[in-house]
Amino acid sequence: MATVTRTIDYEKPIYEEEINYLNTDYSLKSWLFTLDHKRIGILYLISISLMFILGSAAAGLIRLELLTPQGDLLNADAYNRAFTMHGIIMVFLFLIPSIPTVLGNFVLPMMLGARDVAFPRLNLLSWYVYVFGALWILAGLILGGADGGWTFYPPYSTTYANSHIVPVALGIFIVGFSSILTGLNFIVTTHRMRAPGLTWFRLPLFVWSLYATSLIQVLATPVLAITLLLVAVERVLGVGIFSPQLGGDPVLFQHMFWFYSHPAVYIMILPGMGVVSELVACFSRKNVFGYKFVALASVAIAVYGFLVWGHHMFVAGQSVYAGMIFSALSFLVAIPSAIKVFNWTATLYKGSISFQTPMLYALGFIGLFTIGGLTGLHLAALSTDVHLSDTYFVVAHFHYIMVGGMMLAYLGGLHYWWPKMTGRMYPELLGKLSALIVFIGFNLTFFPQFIAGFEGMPRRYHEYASQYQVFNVLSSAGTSILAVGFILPVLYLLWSLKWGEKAPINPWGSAGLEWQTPTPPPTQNFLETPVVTTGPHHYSQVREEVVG
Amino acid sequence: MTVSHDASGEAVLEHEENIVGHLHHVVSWQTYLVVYIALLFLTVITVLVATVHLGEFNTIVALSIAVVKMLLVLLFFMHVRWSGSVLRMVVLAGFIWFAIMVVLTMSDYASRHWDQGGSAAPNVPGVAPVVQQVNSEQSNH
Amino acid sequence: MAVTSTQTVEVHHEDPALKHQFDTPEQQYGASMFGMWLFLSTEIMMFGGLFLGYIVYRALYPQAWHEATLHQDWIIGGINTLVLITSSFTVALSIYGAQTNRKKLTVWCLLLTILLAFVFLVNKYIEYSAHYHEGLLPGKWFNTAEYGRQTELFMLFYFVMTGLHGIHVLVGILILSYMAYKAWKNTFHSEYYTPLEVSGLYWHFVDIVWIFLFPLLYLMGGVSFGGGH
Repeated sequence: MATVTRTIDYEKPIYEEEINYLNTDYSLKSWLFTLDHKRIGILYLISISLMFILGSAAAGLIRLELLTPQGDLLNADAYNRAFTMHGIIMVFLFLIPSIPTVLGNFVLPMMLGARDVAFPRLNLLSWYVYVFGALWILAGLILGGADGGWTFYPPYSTTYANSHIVPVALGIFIVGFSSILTGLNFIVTTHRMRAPGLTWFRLPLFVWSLYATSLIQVLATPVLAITLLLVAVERVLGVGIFSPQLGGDPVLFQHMFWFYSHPAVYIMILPGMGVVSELVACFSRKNVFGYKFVALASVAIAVYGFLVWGHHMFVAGQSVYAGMIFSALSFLVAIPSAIKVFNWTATLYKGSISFQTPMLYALGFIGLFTIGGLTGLHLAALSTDVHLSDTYFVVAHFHYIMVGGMMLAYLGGLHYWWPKMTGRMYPELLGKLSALIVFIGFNLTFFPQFIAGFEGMPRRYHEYASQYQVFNVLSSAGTSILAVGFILPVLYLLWSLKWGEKAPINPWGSAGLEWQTPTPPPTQNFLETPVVTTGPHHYSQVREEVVG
Repeated sequence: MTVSHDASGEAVLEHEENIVGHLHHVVSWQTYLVVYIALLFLTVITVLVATVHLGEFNTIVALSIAVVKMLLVLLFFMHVRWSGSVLRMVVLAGFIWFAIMVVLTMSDYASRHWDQGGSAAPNVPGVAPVVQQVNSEQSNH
Repeated sequence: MAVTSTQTVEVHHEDPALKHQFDTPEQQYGASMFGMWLFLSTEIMMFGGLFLGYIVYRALYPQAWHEATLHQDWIIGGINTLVLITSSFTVALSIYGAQTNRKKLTVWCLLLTILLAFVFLVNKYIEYSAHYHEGLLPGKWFNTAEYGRQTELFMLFYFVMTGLHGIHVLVGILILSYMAYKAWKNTFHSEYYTPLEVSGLYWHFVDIVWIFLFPLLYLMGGVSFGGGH
């Protein structure tokens, strides 16, 4: 039995552990064959960051083209490929993995007091599957990309598209399994690997949100897999189950596609909500108000989210009676999200608030997610949806949630856990500045799109009527500011790896279990399995000595 | 949740058995044999019933027998009979989610022509032109 | 407040089958079972998508669906059903063998399971060839002069569903072969047979899918004993 003895003197803050998960072995092989969930989180961080750059480049092309009403930069075909690849890369290769695979992988076992996830080899496999699928998508991109939107509607995608649908669809099929494996791993880990005393209602809210996300990943993604497989089959054989000439119904594709893709948007927000709960609690020095409600609301959103997919198909030929059912259910699903927003706000009330970078992102999330969520109600109502469907209103709605919400939460979480992951502090002033620039750039980019859409500007068109130009110019100008806001963190976070101030064990005075272990952590996380005796976010009990 | 300590002082999560089920439960080969014979028998019944023309009932009977066979495999071969609550929930979740998908999708197809009156006829407006079982002269794409 | 503590790290080496992230063998066993059942739920949803499509089109074209199944050979389908049910029995017996420390029973039952799986695949090959020669393969090989368009739609379901199922059978053969090898190498005994049980769960699932495919794809049009179709 191997035994390692070390002495920790809490008087002296520890700047760098002798052995931590980063410096235990520097070889490439030790990284590519790692079973350590923290290293796998870093591997994912690098991969999805690269994908984000690609997706942003596609977005840049779109916004450049839309500066003028004419289709002058890109022709219609090229534009179609640009928005398709932007959507596919951002949704499947960036947003869906983002928080779960980077922050979740890193932090979840530590929040549970565990040494690792339940299935470390499956965890590594999920990363390799992600990379393999991403390579297929990139191959399709290099060959010229796919068009027809990230939504792949037949019969266009199956019969009439002249682009590389099959490699891209198969790539997404493969990446889906990465998502399934991650979700499966997290569910078993949360059920099985909790430290003694860590009951369900003592779990941090980030864990609850990851658990709810994992439920969706496991139950929804397989349907996407089979749907895309059927698209590929139809393209190869020339006929398929969605072919009208055989009596097939293209709307069936939409049912199957959105059965996954609606819950997928909850995959793309729930982890962000979990991060926000952690940040709001920590930077208000207060327990989250209505903890149980927030925890159960996460699961409610995950379950309910499976019942509303038809609201993407109100104008697709779906029966209006089914539309009514889906509309009513869509209104209901807003309720648990609203509960969360109210509870975060109540947490802030009479809290001792400090405006560090992570908190700025969290506050931004609360405001922007609320706007995005409220505009979802416009779309859930059948009558208004008829006018707003397929306009820029929809585009603005989902970007408010995915970028204004999830992306800000991801950045907030990344800054919050950066010291834990790297042992370094990022430069706080630059952090705050970037958060501000992101906020301004984001709103300038996407708010005009609400108006343009409301005024009738259709989406997925490379040219538009000249009355919409002012909104598009504002939007594209916003993009340039947003780009600066995104580039700055890349630069200063990388800079901090070498020259950043060395981080104390718990720079934020956070109450989380993940902060009770050295920074950066050793490979096995805890030197001794903790025994938990209190609830989460118990801020009145954190000693001030550990604040850096 | 209770916490106990085993001989080495390590805290152990109790109720593991209540969650996963009786670990290492040994099912006798005789049980397996009986279940196997039942499955063979039910398969033969399924085919025999298919020889009789019962209209819509053919489908219902065939699928009901299939469900019984599935339950036999699940409960006995896959040990769900002796599994704990969490595992049973996982099994149930899969079926419930499948049911959600089918029921809500069929709510669309079942109601597409309600505004046109009449019962569910094969010629469903809103679906691509229905080509009945007729020899088609259209060429393949 | 000054706190100095000496902390020790213990690494489990006693039980080679116990992975480092688990505290006890029971925890590991429970986690493995839980993980496998979750995976099977994903498989229910994946095949479920195909069953959904089948249900929708059967509701739309009930007559065509009935007629299309008349082109299936229910005898081969029935034999395959019996083959897979038997293979479920043999794999259950192999786990029983591990639980009762009967290595020979384990290995022989696994080999028998694999043999039955091969028989299943050979039967499928025979069926697929027959369909090809009859002009029932969807796409450019389909005999549109003789069969209606909805038959082609049905055949698409037939091939994708049985094809996906067949791939699962093939993967199952690989998994069970590896299990047979491990069993032969004395890896399994009454205290540890988790990989075997997990593999068994997968195989039973494959059987259950076929239990539904058989009536849906072969028997909907009715069966006659006058020499099959």
